[in-house]
Amino acid sequence: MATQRDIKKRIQSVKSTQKITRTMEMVSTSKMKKMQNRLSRSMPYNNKLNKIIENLRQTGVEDVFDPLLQERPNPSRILVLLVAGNRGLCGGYNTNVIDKALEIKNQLTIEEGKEVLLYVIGKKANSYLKFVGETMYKYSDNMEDDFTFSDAADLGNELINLFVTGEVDEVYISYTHIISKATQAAKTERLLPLKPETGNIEETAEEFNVEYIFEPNPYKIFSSLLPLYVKMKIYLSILESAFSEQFARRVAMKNATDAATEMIRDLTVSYNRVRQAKITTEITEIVGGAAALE
Amino acid sequence: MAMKLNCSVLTPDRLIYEGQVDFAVVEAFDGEMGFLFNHAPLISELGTGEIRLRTGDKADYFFVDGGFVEVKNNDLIILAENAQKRDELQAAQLESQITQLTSAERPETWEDRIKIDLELKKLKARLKVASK
Repeated sequence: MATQRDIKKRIQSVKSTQKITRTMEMVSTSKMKKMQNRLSRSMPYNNKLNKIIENLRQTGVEDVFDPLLQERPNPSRILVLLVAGNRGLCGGYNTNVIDKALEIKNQLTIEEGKEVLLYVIGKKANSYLKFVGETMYKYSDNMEDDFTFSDAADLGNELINLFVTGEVDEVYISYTHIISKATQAAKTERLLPLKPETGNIEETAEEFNVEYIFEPNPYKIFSSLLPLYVKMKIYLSILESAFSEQFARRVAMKNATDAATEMIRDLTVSYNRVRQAKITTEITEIVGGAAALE
Repeated sequence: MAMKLNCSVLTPDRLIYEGQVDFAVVEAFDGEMGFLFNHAPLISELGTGEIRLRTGDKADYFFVDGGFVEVKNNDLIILAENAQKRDELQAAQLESQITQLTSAERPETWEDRIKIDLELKKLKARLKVASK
């Protein structure tokens, strides 16, 4: 049986752990809010970009030959961009997204006999893949708070280059998608060749009746919009992942803090019990001793 | 009714400007392009240069590098890939960067030379906006 002092030590250590988890929870909450702000600041741009692309599609530029839109027959080399975090202590966040990426990789390699390259972002994914012996095409750290649009643009240019030069035939992105503020899920999407989202045509039919003047011409504009669309998609995916990471960490740390509170309560109960038992034994001893003297 | 355009300047990470303007000039891919009230619907590609937004006697200046402009129903939307306000640009710093680039030795390969020239062009365009 644990002694009084042992239990006291235990309580102390749980308390200090609780302090750490509580602080981490608060840090994650504030980082999460920051990410959310960044996401909402980018939304108007993204919406507008999609709208212009839709408007352009209505003018019939869709049939245009643009390398980024060309489906390749029998794609053989496929690149998967995996967006994970640098740090752990965030529940299933990293494992979920890594599993999702590996799932698609296995599906493509084993079932369809294709060559899959993994482009990995995030220390956690790197160490896990090394551990299971997966080869990586390229690895870079997650830039976390320092991540800007120009970084996404660089990454986008790199991927577009690989695709256009025929180095790879398809590009997928595996990231954590925000479904609602409270639910996120790992998701894999095809990035290249592009398939811009088609909105509800009836709903916006009125707008399409507007005859635009295009400078220089719709095709040229369409072709220069597409890379921007890809970059924006990458930028948003990484921001969404960063938000989800902080969210997952917050939940994990909240659970840890609650568990610590529970544990301290249990330990305090057993501490008091041991203390009481000790007092009882002492009294019995004294009473016994006094009785023996009489 | 006021003859004004609703103008917004957006970059991927923020909204730089929102407001009503009398007259807007943007640097399109082939030169400057001006917009007044009741402009026909238009979408154009942007080049590297300045944006001037005039409201009354007041004018706002921005530096823009690439992107698009859309005008429709007197809503003018500038989607820039990279944009800065005039206040964010520091002329002295830009000048020193320019002198640094021009005084450096010319690189060997033509690719590098083109890169430097492009960089120089962008810096000069920034400087022009900064010294307004």
